[in-house]
Amino acid sequence: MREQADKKEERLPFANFDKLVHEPARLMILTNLYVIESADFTYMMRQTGLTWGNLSSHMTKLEDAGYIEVTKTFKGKKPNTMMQLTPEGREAFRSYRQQMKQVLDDLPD
Amino acid sequence: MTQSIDLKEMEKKAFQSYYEDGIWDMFLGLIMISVFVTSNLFEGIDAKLVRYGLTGATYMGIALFLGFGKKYITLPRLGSVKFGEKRKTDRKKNVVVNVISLVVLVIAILAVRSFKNTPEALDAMERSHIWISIGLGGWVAFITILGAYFMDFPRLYVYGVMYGIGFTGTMLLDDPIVFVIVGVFILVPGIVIFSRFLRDHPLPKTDVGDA
Repeated sequence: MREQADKKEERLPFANFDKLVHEPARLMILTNLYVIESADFTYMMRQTGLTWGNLSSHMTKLEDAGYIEVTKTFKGKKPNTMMQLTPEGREAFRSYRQQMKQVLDDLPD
Repeated sequence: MTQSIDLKEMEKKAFQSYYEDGIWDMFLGLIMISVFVTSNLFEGIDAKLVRYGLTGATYMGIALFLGFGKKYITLPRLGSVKFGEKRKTDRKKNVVVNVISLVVLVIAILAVRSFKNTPEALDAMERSHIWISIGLGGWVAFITILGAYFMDFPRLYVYGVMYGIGFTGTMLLDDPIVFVIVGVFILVPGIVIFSRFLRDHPLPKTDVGDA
């Protein structure tokens, strides 16, 4: 049984990818947050090209998983939402990046 | 998946996008032009207090333009972002360099003023007028180019050279109109970049602060 599981893992290297990170829109969000300290909604919308609703929905999933931290404040009377990667989020992104590199490097030309 | 993602390049592009509003360019151009205005147009005013007040108000107005421009025009369009530790360190280094250069400049001006009334000093200054002009222009260019490095602001390298030319040219030709020429050469592209920025980055339509 263990042998079968190992063989299955060999045939499907992508099976172990964190699906939360692997989704293109969320990967874009995490990549952008990885290279900075924190950013607000407007910045993330501009950088990712996602719509407000789309970004909001993906943000919620990442926040529920503990990968990003969302802080809501006020700038004067206007609400302002800042987000940043948590240490778990940074580690998840790093692992994903490493796994992806390994899989792609192992592929024949 | 043939395009590799260079994270450093991504961060650099994001950082430099905040210079694509043209506000820094307009600020630097206005500073140059105001040197001419404050040293020439205000010179005719007899009352020292009024003259100094107007000079101070001019520079303060330009500084406020930079601050308010960034806060009320750029940030609502591009969004707020805090970049990493390296950027913060570079900004601190830039401040230190600017403070040191200001101190050196003030000491040099005070030294020149205190010695310039002696015949020997006047004679020496007249003989080395060219070298003093080149030295001052070179110093201004050097400080500005160093600022360009720490701020990661590519156009500032060119402006640094132009600033140096402005100072050297003014001293050699003994005509502050050089400041205006250099200022206009920086201000006009700044206005073009600014108008392009406003066109390409309209204010977000929905209230996106709240998610």
